[in-house]
Amino acid sequence: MSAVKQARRHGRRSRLEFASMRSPVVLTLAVTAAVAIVGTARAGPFIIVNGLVTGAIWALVAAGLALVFGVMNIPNFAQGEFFLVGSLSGYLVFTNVSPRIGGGLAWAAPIITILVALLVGMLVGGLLDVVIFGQMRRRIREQWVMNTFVVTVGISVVMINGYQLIWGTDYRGIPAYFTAPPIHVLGVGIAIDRVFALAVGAVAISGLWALLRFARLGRAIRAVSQDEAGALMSGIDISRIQTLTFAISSGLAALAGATLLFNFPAFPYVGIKPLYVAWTVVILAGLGNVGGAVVAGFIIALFQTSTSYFIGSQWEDVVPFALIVVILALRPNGLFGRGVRGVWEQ
Amino acid sequence: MIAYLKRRRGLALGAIVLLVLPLIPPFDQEDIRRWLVAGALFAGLAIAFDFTAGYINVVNFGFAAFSGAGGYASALVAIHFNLPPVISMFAGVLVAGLLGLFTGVLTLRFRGIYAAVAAWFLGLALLGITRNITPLTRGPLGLSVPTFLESDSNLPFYYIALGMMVVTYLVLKAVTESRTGLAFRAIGQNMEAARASGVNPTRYRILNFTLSCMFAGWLGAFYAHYYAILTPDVMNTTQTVQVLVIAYLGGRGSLWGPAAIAFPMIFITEWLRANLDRFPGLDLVIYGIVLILVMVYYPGGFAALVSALRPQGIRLICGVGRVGK
Amino acid sequence: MLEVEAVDSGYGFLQVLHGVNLRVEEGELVAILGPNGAGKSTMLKCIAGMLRPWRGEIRFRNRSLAGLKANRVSRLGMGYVSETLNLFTGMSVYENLLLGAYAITDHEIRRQSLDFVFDLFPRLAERRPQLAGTLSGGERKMLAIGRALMGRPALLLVDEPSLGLAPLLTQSVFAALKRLSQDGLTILLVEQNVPGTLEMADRAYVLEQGAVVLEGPARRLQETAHIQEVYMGLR
Ligand SMILES: Nc1ncnc2c1ncn2[C@@H]1O[C@H](COP(=O)(O)OP(=O)(O)OP(=O)(O)O)[C@@H](O)[C@H]1O
Ligand SMILES: [Mg+2]
Repeated sequence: MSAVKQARRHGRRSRLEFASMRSPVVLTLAVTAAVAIVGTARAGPFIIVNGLVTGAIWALVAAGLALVFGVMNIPNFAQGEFFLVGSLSGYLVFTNVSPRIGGGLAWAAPIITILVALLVGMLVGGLLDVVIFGQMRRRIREQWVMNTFVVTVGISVVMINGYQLIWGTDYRGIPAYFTAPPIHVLGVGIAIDRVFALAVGAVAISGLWALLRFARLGRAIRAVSQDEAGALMSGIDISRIQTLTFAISSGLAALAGATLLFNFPAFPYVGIKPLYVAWTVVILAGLGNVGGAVVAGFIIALFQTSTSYFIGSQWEDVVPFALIVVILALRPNGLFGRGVRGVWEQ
Repeated sequence: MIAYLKRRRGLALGAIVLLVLPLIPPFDQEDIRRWLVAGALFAGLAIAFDFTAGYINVVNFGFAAFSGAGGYASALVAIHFNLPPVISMFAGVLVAGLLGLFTGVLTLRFRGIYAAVAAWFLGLALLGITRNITPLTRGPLGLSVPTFLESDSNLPFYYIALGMMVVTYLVLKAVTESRTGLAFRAIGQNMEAARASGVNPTRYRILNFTLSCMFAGWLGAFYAHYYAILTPDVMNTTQTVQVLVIAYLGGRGSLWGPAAIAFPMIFITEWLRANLDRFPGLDLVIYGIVLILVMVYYPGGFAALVSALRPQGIRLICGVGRVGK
Repeated sequence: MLEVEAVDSGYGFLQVLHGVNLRVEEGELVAILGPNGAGKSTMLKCIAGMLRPWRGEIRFRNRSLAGLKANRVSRLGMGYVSETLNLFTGMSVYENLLLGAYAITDHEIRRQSLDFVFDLFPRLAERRPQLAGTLSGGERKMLAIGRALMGRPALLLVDEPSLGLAPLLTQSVFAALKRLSQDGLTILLVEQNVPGTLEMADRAYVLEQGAVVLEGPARRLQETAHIQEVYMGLR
């Protein structure tokens, strides 16, 4: 065992290990490609296009989930509710702003909307972290993962029902952000809203990547995720970093919620689907693996669109879950999972 | 027998209180008896849940789905083979037990949160399947299920539920107090260390999952034959959350804590729901806030509170003393 | 520069330190010696703010550290190299060093520190893009010291730099510490390698079972019977 680990650390991989550890990844990617090709041949390229659009957005929600788990060891069950925060603030902002700016500036309304949603999501997330997880960090850290998990369940219950209490159970949605006619790519008509969603996903993901990779803040975030004591010694205020991380994660989910408002109107339970999907994606990618979450987002979205097309939309949530369980059985740390740290496992 | 009862003084006392409770006012009203039935049912479910979460330290997040699958199995057997529910229930035990076995095998290599999420996904897949095979389950329309007996009173149902809860408690308690229970705690605390000291995690984890799910299925069957209607919603994550909240507020790793807290919890939530119906959602907001407060400030739950108040006595009476601490 | 007065501390119910007093003057190299489990690392953790003293006071540059978290203590000019090093194993040598200078926003100063560290440990310069987790034991020690130096500390706490190193490497790490000390850096060093440490230190404290049993100039301690018997195996 330790010899294998040693070999892996130094980048030497025995054939056997290559076969046993990597083949599920290759297999999954191959199956994904096959699904994409067959799907395209039988049903047309919209399978890929739709997969790409929803995948980009799921990747956002999932990246937030992975980030919070990687840095704070919190398995967030309330991630979907930040999606809801985004849908609601998106709805409130857009319906108020859009009638006021008309004409040549109409394109700015959706952008303002999603930026406000991002900010609101970050604020709500940051506040929750200070009030709840900050308290927990100052207390016992025993059983941290499971305790915080249950706390996020509580947060989810409060947010869903608090929403219902204040705004009721009506759907609050918009037909579309943009009135322009769809554009045509590869013979498929794509609504401008979907193009917009794809662009938002791409920009946000690249932004997150650049932040983590190059910025001082991002480096501190990674430092906290790797060694909290080391981060403290280097003068990093880990509590502040964790609050920021939670805020960023919530903000990403809210951004996703606002961006998909044309498809997912705000109502108390709108967060459930993004939550399930994000968890699927994150588990598939390996917990705490932000980069893997992006790839896995596309894979899941593709599976969903093709399941819904070929088998029936009511199976859309069953088949991916079953698939994940199978993949997990082959690779317990997720497709691209780096070895998960000890603390995370309890 | 006497010695046994002495050792189980707390339990005996609790059982007596629960036996006479539905006979004395104000608990003798049918409405309140219904809450008592729900209390006994959820107490049993929370015990079975805690058997996994509190001992091997894996949260079975698909719990409600397994329990619901037991309910559906029992209901379908009762309907199609015309068997009395008392017998068909064992089909529920069998199906849920097999599902538990399968989950145990499948999640063997996962730790902590991974196992929890894998069980969750399995539960969601089960829920989806149940919802979609409408010829058998009638899907969201709901399946009407024969009840145990024709009675307008909730009293007989209550005693059935109470009996099932007590049996669940006694059996699972006996297991946790045996060498097997020690092994559970060992693998729950540190899988590697347990393996190194000769405990085979594989065997114990599968055993734990299977046992817990068998009882879940049995109690799920009670649910089916009491409420007389089954919809796929009984398998939903929100149901698992309800059981989980009771188990955690009661205190992990004690079995009796979840059982003790189940009754007041059900009463409070039902009361809130009944009295706050002008504010839909407020009851659950309060519920969630309480859960958060307890988890932040007193994560040991009710059981820890009691053993902190009476460290010696409780440990002797109920055997809550934590191994290896 | 550093005064520790009557500090008690420990973990949970376990008291490890019993009324420890020690002081470090500006420019000194002071060593803490003692057997395994004496509480040397615990003392350093208290000073660095990683562990809270139960009683007593710690003052650094005439400022009480009471209630300050480790990140604040670090920003006051205390560099800390822990026993376990706490490197960011998934990041490159370069990024580890940059993180050491997290509190320093001035580009120019950061670049100077980087040059200084690379000059002190040329090995690190060669391994700049390598992941910290793949470094050898000696290189990790150098990186941990380098990372602490990047924060421009006034006082450097080093916990057992010789731990797990071959004699030759120990010597080179000691040489680096000596050079830092000669350049004027104040150092508080925990060590088990008694002869080597007493050679280079100005003063030393001997900690046994959580209490200071002996203290004084290193030269004089070298001569004491207790040290020679227990720690050097002489006599
Ligand atoms: N995190 C901890 N939790 C509980 N007890 C601890 C912890 N760290 C150290 N101890 C205990 O405190 C005592 C002192 O430990 P410490 O690490 O300070 O000794 P030391 O002098 O540095 O020894 P060594 O030379 O072996 O490093 C030991 O008995 C140890 O078991
Ligand atoms: Mg030490």
